[in-house]
Amino acid sequence: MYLPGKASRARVREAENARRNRAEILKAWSQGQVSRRDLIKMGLFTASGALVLQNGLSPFARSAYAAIPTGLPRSPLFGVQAFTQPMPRFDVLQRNPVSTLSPAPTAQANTTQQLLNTTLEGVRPGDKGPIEGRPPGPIWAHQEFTRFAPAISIQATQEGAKANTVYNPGVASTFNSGIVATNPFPPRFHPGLPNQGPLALWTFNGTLPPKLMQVRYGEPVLFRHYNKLPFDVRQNGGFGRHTISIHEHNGHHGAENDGFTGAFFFPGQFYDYHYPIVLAGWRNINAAATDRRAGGPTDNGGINKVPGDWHETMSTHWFHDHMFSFTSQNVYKGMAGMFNIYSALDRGNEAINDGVNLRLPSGTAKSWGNLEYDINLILADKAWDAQGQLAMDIFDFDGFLGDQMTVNLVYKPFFEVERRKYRFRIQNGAVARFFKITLSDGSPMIYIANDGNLLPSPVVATQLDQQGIGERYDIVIDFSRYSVGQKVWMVNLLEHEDGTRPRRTVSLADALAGNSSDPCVGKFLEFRIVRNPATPDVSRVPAVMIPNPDLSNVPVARQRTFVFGEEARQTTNDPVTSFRGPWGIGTTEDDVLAADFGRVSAAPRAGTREIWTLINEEDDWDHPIHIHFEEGQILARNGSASNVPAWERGRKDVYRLRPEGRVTITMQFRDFGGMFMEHCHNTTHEDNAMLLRWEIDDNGAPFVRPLPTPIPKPQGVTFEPPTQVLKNAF
Amino acid sequence: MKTRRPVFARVVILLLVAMLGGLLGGSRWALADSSVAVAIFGTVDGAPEGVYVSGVAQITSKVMKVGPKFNHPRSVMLSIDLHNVSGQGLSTGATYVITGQDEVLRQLVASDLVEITFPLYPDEPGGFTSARAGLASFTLTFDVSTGALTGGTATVSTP
Repeated sequence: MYLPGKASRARVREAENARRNRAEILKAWSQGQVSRRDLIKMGLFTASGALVLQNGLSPFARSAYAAIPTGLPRSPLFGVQAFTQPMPRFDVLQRNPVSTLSPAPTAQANTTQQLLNTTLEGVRPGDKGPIEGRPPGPIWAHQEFTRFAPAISIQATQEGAKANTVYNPGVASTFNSGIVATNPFPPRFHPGLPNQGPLALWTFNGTLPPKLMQVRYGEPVLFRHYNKLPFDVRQNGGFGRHTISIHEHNGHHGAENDGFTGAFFFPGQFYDYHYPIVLAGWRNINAAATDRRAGGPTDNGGINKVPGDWHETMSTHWFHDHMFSFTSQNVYKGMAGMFNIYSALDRGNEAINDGVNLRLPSGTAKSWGNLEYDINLILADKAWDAQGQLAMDIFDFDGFLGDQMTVNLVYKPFFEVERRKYRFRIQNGAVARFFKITLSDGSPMIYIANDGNLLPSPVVATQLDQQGIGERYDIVIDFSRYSVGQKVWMVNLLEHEDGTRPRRTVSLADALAGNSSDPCVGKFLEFRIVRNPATPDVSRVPAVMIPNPDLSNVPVARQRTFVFGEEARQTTNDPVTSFRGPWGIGTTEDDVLAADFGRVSAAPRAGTREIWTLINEEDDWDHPIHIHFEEGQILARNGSASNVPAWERGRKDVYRLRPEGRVTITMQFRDFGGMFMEHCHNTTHEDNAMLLRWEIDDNGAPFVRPLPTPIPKPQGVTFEPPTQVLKNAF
Repeated sequence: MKTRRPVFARVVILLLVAMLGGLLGGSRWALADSSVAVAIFGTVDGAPEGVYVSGVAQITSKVMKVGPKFNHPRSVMLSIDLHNVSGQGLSTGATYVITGQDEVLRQLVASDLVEITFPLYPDEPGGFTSARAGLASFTLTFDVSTGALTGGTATVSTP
């Protein structure tokens, strides 16, 4: 994938030429001026969707200068050294009263008309369209909007890069490696690297650091998201799409709030997402809200009891764009943040000792949501061009890899810590890269959560498992073992050659010595132990955290199989809902289908439990599969429960299949309905057709089976019947 | 002659089937998981005391097939299980728990030095919060034609 660091000038020039040659096609495709079908006709794509191996065009064509595939030029570092800038903490989004929203949120989409900008595609002078991009009508109305009426609002825009003048890290500068939050925070990966232009980086509020939402059970949230991206689809800096849909991964919310891939909205519109923040099972389990373990923190240190199953408590989510066929580009371009959920068990206050709070490392200053010792990390490999602007090769259908490691969207930073325990919520926010994390001295870490769900029991490890795209590992590191002045590094041991899957686990010694062709192997985050804590560390890692929900009395209504593979058939041709790509998902082993969000592939009944088997039929690929809305328990890997490692024995929402692997999971479908997705979270694979739609139709009114498909346009969302309903869907 | 021809033809067919089966079955066998138990021992130094580690590591190797699209080198996924390994404090005689369970992806070569770190901690309530690290070094041998893991040796030391 990469040109070696010592590649000849001629070789670098050749690769740069290839990149320039591709740029025009890339631009035309990303802007929708040509389709994949056109490119196949032009002989630039193979029928399977891969860029032809043509020298000077494809990075995989044989080079005149070496017998290995040519790669992209290395991202220039402009003389910048690793670990010379502080790692910024996430930027906490303001929580406001709902009354601050204007217009006030509505159960059904707000269809108040506005004059449209004629730069938008398909818009003629005088055209009008709704101010909210949510599909109109009762099917896409907020479910349980009265029962779980929003108690707070959070607002954010999506826009091009600019300096952050309102950075709120949620902690004092001493807990943010000395960063002074009142100083403008420029949109750049390092002070020695160029600022990102407004077309290169599209983030929440247009700023860095990445954003954090802090929410709690029992306090429903109305998230209003404004699309302030360029009206002109061509103004994208070569990649990225200006239509967006935000997925709160893996929220237990109605489908209208799930960021469905086909429920995207346009610049000039907003979309109201209603996050009830409820415990699964609230209709039937602990319905009277009497269990103290089921709840959210109050402002005075108590518990606000809520209905539902406390075993379903969740902790660490993230939110990101889910635009059909453009998720990888948009997420890579900066549309990703994190979402901490606080609960009776996971209070975000390590001192409250009430027999319920697990007292995980966090802090004590506030009754809940303390961040001093509770750190969000989003890991992502990036690449930039000769001018230092974010760059991406959207023709790499194996999965795009960057050649520079970033943490919280800055290049290889350092982070100051005290001699005590810290919690790290680690998010793999890459496009196609897996990580395997260890500490440079091999010291133990403690897994406490997997995919945002606290484990039944903590698991000690010195090398974390592979972490696929979209997976979250919450770990505790105890820095009290070090002396003030010492340093220790987080190290990535997993080597990629391309985006197909990891190729090699590098030993710690080799990773530290730089013995890898992959520039993202090795140290990527430096911890500087700077002081003793001012007060004793009272945090704990209890031996028992959250046992799994007991499903033994819930009958299995149905078993389904999903096969993830290549050379998918496209059975539909809707220009909006279907997408041909090399990838696909089948509901039978011999019929892998390319993505169409108008096709219904599965429709579990509300209130039931099913067993799903996810099969990777490919031998040279890995796919981290994400199923929206419901947490699952892994019953078996490759047919055996004993193959499930200790850290996967809690609840999960992303399942790494492994080459030719199969994962059997069980899930319940309850509380809300609508259309959801299942897809590979290698977002390149997802965008190139490894995605399907499933739906729950019978969760109360309106009961429509199957659901009509939304077709968003600036003038308003229309609906079409499903393009296809698979015969085994219902 | 007439009676022999069918027999001859049948034999030829059987031979062809056997050869084909051998080819298919052979590749399947060649790609089957293989497993070895390796005795492992050594000392992890450090505070509060040195720990003598011993036991049997179970290593399972799965050959990762290589699809036709790429020119990737053959590789193996090694599952390393140290659950049958434990430690004993050199000063106190206390038992230490080893919870090592790891998977590493390696290129298939005749002999490979594989190093992993593993946690060890006192066998007492909450002992896991004071876990330390050891280093396990495996020299593993493979039959590169079949991909089978054929043997290995192992030592433990301080990382």
